Amino acid sequence: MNTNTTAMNPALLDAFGAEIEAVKQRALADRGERDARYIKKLVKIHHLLTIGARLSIFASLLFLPASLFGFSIALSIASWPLFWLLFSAGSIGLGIAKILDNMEIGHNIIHGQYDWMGDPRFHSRHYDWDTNCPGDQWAYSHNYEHHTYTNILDKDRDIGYGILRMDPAQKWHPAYLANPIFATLLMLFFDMGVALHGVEIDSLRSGRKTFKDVWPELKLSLRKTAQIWGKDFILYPLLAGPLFPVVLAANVSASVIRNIWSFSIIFCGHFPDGVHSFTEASCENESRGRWYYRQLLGSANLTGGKLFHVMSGNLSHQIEHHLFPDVPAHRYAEMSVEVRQICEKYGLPYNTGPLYSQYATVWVKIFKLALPPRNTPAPQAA
Amino acid sequence: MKLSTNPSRSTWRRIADSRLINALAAPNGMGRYLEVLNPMWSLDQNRIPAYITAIHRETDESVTLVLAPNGEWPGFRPGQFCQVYIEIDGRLHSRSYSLNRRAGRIAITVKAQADGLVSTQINRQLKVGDLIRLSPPMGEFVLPPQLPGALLMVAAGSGITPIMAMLESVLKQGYKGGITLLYYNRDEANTLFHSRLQALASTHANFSLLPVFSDGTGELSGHFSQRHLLAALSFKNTLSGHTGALSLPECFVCGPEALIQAVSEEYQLLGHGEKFHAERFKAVSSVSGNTEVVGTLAFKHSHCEVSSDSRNLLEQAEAAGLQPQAGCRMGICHSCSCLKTEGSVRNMNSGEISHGEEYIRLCISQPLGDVSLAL
Repeated sequence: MNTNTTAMNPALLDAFGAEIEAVKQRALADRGERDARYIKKLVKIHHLLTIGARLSIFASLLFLPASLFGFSIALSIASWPLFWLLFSAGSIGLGIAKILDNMEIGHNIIHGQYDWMGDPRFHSRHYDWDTNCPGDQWAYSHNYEHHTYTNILDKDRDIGYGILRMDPAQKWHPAYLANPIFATLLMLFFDMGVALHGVEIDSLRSGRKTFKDVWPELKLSLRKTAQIWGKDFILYPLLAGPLFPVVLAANVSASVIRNIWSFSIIFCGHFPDGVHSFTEASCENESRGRWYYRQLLGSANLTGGKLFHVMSGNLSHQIEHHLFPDVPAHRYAEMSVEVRQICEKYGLPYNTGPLYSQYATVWVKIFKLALPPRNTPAPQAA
Repeated sequence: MKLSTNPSRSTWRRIADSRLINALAAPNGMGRYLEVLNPMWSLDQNRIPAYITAIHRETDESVTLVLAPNGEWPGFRPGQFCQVYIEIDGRLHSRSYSLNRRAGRIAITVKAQADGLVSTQINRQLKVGDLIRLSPPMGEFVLPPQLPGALLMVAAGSGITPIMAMLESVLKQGYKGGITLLYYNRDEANTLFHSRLQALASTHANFSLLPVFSDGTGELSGHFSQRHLLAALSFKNTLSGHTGALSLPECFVCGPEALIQAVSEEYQLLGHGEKFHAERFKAVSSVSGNTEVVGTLAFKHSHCEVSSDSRNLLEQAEAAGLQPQAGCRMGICHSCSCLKTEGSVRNMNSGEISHGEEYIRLCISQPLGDVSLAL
């Protein structure tokens, strides 16, 4: 859906913007002890979970039937369930730890939500996360490009990540027939996808940049990838000696769990049905109110419990996140009550739904937009 | 981000902080995991955790904290200071305090300033057992390795703290030269370390205390002048036996700018400028609401200084020919976040004022007076 935000009455938008701004200022004025305690608690949970999960993976090796075979066949058969229990608990635990680090901790810290604490451990300039994209590189491509130019075609590179057709206004090309396949690959290798997206690898194909332009950033990205993959896929497996493949399998599972989950949450933020996209021209000289309006129309929320919101890095409150990207995300739930009331007052849409239905519309879109537009050519961006 | 390497670091700390172990805890390193298990296991060499093991009240307005830092603490030379980091309402604040020894541990003495957030917190809120963080020791205001024959020390108010550290250390070492301390305070009750200094003076014949009170009850009164210098030089003959007729003792001064200037001028005038050493304690000047202050804007990494106006710092940096990283220019994306090393700025969105070393967003920061940026 391509929308022109200039159609709204400017005075009304200014009033809307002022009310949204007031919600933000109240939250900012209230920042303090509570936010610091929250992020510290989360980091603590992440660290303990990581330690526990890695220990569990190595503990599972002790119960691997092959390693007990020498003692007794009965013992080795009996140890199967224990092995699987520890192995899966470790893999899933590590996956969850990576999700916590990437979403509720890393994403939000790198947004600068905790910069005010003045502690380098929680500062956007110093924090790096457990994924392939270097934090500072992502801070630019995501915080600036995506959050300033949200859902503006040709400016927000998050629309389709340079490989998918996620908006009808993107011109169809036969390569998009593979849209579902590309989407599946992006989902499974989302960590690498985000890293390559950060260095604008897709601009090589479009000819907007040469390899020489991309190389300095790509080098940093590959170095970070080597650091993270080296840790999970080489160093820890090496500690297991001959049981290298078992630890490797556990760590790969953890990464894939994280990849599928973050892809799903992130794609539900901007691509479900009813989310609007915009043209570059309609966003020129945008007022603050109109900017807020565009953020509202360009995002969609997910409903769920408290744990779900934490696991999604509070990106389940994508609307609030786009209105208030630098407010500590654990406050979005309480802020969403006010935001919704304001939207109702001004008769503005507030796109929200449960994960399964929002996600279903995303996949329908991925399949539908793989095909060329039916009768009319794709609407041209104004 | 290691600024210092501590040669006295224990073997296990070296191993835990080795490349291999840190690679297993990539990207943020093993120290972060260790400090979750026990804060004292932190491997951070820039913000070293320290427990408060004792608190001594010095005067109505000042306390001494006795601190036990972890194994990252490298030790200090008397006269040096460090940044003390204290969390107040979720925010980490830092101030510089001089270091001293007390009962074999390190100690800082803090005077509560009238509108001082950190000094008041230290005086009124901190308890034994609380954890604070310290930077490694800094500063070149230290005694030379080869001690001179005579020392004149001049201090005012809390400027006594580095002087006290030097004094106690040299007297403990059995220094044989003469020392006179010219010490300015409001009155006796508000004098830091008054009884300790008197005790030192009575047990050490080579040390004389010459207090100056502004209420006129001391040996001398008023501000530093040539008369005070001459009085100090001849006081109880402590110094005269150790300095030649036309010479002056090595001089160490700590206090307000006016005092430092006055002593420095006397030393220059008498042709002994090279014997003068001073430490400045800069007080944060309070800046009021909406006045436009013009000051100097220093970009430390670019070695460039310009005079500043009331525009945001990002614009001013760009006008000065710099290319700081920037994005939305409206305080959203934090691309332009930068370390301010000195000075005060106002957040143009919230009106919040930031003092001292702190990260700020250039695009929404307006300078209030002189500002230095790590840019």
